[in-house]
Amino acid sequence: MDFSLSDQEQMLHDTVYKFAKNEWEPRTLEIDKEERFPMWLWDKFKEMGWCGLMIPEEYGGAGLSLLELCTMFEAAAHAGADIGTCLAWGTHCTIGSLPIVFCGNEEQKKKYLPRLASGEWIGCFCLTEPNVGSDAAHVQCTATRKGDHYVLNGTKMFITNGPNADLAVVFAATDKSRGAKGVSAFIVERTFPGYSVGKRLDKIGMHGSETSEIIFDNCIVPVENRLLEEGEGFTKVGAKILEYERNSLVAIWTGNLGYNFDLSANYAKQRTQFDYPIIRFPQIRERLVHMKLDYDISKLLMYRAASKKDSGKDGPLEATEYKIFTGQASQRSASEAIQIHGGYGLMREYKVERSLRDAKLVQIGAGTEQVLTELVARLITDTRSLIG
Amino acid sequence: MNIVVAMKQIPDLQQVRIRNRQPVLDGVPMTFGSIDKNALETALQLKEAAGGNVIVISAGTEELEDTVKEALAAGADEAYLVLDDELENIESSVSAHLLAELIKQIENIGIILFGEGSGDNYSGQVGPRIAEILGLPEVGYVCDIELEDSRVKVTRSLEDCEEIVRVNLPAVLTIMADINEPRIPSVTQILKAGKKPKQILEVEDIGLDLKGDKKIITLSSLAPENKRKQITVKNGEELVDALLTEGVIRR
Repeated sequence: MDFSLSDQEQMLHDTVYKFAKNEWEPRTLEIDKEERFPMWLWDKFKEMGWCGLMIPEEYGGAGLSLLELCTMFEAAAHAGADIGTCLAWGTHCTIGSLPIVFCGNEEQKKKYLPRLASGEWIGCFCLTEPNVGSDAAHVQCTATRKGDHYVLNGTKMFITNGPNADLAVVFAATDKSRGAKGVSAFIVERTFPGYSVGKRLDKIGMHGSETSEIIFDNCIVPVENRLLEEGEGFTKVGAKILEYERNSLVAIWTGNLGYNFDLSANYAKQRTQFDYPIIRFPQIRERLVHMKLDYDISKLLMYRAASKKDSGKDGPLEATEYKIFTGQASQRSASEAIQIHGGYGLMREYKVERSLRDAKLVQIGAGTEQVLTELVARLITDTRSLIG
Repeated sequence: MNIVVAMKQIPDLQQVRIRNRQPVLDGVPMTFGSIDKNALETALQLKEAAGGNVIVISAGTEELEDTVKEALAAGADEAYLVLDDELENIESSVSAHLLAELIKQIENIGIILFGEGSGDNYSGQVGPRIAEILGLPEVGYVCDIELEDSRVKVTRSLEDCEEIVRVNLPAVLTIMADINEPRIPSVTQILKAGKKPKQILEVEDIGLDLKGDKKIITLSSLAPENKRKQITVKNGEELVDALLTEGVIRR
């Protein structure tokens, strides 16, 4: 079994790592404070072809595999790119674009993918609602068909890229009586009548990504903008995309585990107490070993989950285990990184406190740890929980 | 017109550690020298302005076949390589002969570009030597190039002034580091890099006897010794006295 990256994967990794280290990491304090998606960075992504990573070449993208995509996200965060901006970028490249790649018809692909691939348009994904999180199959937002269009009504919540997105993939109930089988998915342009960006949300971390509500008030969406058939929004579009989301966006936190380790090991070599660099003290050494273990295990789980998906097989267990582990590891790693840095770790300037603020999301977004743990329990025991 | 860029494979200097005054090269990835990357960027800009093909030439160990993908990803169209594990740490005169033979195999050459010095030894010899071997004009310290039909107008950055010269093509130009900022390869260029043509030769094909031609033997290559004088002081007063004695500060 060979765990090394191919030449192409390695070159993608190295290119992203170098760029993030030299041009992105030095400005992360500024990004974190401004709490805005850095458009100057997006312009560079456009130049480097980083906006359409998994979009096929025929539509202007790079046609990368999932493993190549994960490798790029991991490399950026490992070099010190902030999780927030990575998340905004990753959202565009995965859940903001892939529903059209995987479920769009030819006309939809030709119309929308080149704009998303070039970065002219930014994508977002509207599933979560104020009262619908984990129970995503029961969306309250409705889509009522009227002749050649649908009328969408409702509010979507916690939408990454919401304030900046030009295009949203929106899930709405076309038949509430059918539950999950009554949900349909739509491609909705920002300029469609009745589409508006709601309150910009003030978050604990991930400041490089902007989050908001998206409001649909009698929003008119042409029938040709529906993805697949009515009722296939959650069962086919959502089911396919959420596994990709679980696999790919988590790679950002895997990279962050490496960043925490690098910062902490370097600091421990330089910081002297009681006449010795603190890296010589057993408690510091043990903490560093566990941080490195968490990083390596997370990376191996990433390789396993992404390789399986790339081979054409579904990997719900692999993707879910990867996300659960990385979520827990991110908490440990960020906390230990601060502990090793002592008082300085609490200072923004030293950058590890940001990891702690950014770590919590990975245990909540794209499936809470509770829901995912139950999913793994079902998969590995072939039983259901007492509570359903 | 073909624009040839000579590039030298070296260890990634940012990842080299020094132990006992010796560089630790285990596990250090190979890359190209940073000024070589400026030379490549110059070639790409000339191509964008006037068309043509950018051909990278290099001689080195087997790893070079991987390293050259970096240049192909940055936009070079083709590579001519001499690969041999004996080519580690070869002297400049041998490099010049090898590369000159490679260049002879390329037709319709307009400009041959080099970095002003390599990323490791910075001897700055290979470019001028090749110009001599091939009987071509050579211009050094180049900070700007303008194409003019069968000639180029070249600005040279000298210590106190800039000199502008016109040179007939083909010519050898050695490039200063501040001439440009090398581009970051785009994802699609990276994906294409593996499929671009590479002409690979062995030393035998060139007809050079590496051992026989060796004129300089490197005996050692050591990092400078960092001599620090240690003085023990008991208080601030003694510290000030010691610093005065050593001439670090004055009254």
